[in-house]
Amino acid sequence: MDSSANLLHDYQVLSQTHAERFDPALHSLQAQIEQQLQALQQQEEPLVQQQQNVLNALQDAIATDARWLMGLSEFQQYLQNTQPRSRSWSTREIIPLDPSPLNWEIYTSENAVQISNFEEDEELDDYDDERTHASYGYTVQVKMGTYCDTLYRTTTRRVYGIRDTRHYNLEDQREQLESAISDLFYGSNLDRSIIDHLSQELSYLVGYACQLFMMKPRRVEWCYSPAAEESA
Amino acid sequence: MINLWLSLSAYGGLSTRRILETYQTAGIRFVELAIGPKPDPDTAEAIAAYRQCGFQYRAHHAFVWGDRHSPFNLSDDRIDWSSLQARIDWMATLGITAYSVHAGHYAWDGDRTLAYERFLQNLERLHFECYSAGITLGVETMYSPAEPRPYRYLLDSVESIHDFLQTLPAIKLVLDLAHLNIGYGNERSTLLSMLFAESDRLLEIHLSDNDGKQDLHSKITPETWWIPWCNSLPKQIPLILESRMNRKGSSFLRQEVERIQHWLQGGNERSQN
Repeated sequence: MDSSANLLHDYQVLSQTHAERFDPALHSLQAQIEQQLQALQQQEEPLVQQQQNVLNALQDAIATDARWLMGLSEFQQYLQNTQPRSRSWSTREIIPLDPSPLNWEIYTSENAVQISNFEEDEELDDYDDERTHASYGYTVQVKMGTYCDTLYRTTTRRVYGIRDTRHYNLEDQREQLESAISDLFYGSNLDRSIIDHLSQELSYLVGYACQLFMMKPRRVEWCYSPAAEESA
Repeated sequence: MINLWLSLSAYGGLSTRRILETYQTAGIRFVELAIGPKPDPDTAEAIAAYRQCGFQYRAHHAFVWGDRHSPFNLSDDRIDWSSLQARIDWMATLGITAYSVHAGHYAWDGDRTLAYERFLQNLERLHFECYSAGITLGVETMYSPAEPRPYRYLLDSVESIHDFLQTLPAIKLVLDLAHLNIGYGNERSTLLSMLFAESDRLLEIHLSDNDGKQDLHSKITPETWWIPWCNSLPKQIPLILESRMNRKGSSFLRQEVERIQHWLQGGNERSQN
């Protein structure tokens, strides 16, 4: 019993010895890193500000009329990354869009497509049919001619617990947007087929614009990764 | 006239009182209590207050009732029966006569036979308690997602639903048309024909849409798979609209309910636009 009772004391002594020997060096290293990071952050500030200014201008241009995005090669790349899935469950026939966005209805329309008021948000009390969960996503406003609506909550991630997180990829998000955008034309006299077509085209443009709205200025960040070091 | 009810899950994220206030403004009085409202100590009082204003209620599974949401699984061997009994007693005092529950679920790689046995035992007990309180119980048809999830449901196929109907003939079914869009393939039409032929076994029918992969409760459109079946829906069975319309406002709610009502009565989309 006595020898067992000493085990906890032995551990505490060893642990204290370790702390005395290594903590000062660790604290010094930490202070050194923080000092260097502060110096780098001061140096980067003008470039961060320039990035932010360009992003602000980009967002303003999208809010004025986002259709200039449709001529970019990056938009073509986005289209390739968001191929519609087969919809065997749907009675609706998917009519493929023209390969060139510059031939789309929304591009040739006289009405600007204004995309603005983008906000990323979280809902900690979200729910499905069975369980509550935290969900993450974004809300954005779209205006085309006289049609204007806030597309509330495109979901990017649902967190049910530490072992159950669901991610929504670009196509998942675009499908959510397409469904929400069709409400834009709620109460209009447009034919259903026209609403479907416009909603489909707009969903790509809004989906891509939202990816741009999510861009943040690149900043110096300290991330120590032993695993990365080992593999290097 | 179509007997259309609106689930509280259609307008969640707010307190129950705020949702009922919005429903009242939208002219909606037939409401199914469900998951969705923010749990709030005022919940039970709000539900009772709006009953005085003429609201009628049905109840669904672990509906938000008090200051927290308390989920339960009918395949579990540790169900909190005192809590469930309190729920049933409260429903009875509110004049609720229809209570729908989800079929049980079990771990994705778990023992389905054991889960089904427990489910049947629990369900018989729940049925007895509900029956004693003057409430008709119904079990909802579920679905089987293609991608693995932490758990899977019972009553997720035509075969399992058919088996259930034979095993517990006293208990009704709740048909969720959107659930049939996930994993049933061409068998969903077979199931509908089977259930419509035995419509006295149906307590209610739940309406929404999804992407064929997840139970998203999305908006019903002309392309929603069950639209061609509208005219075949048994007329006397209550229909529960579950499509999400969170934050859309009362006038949107009113228009959307009217649109779906019109459709269910055999109208078409074009004349609603």
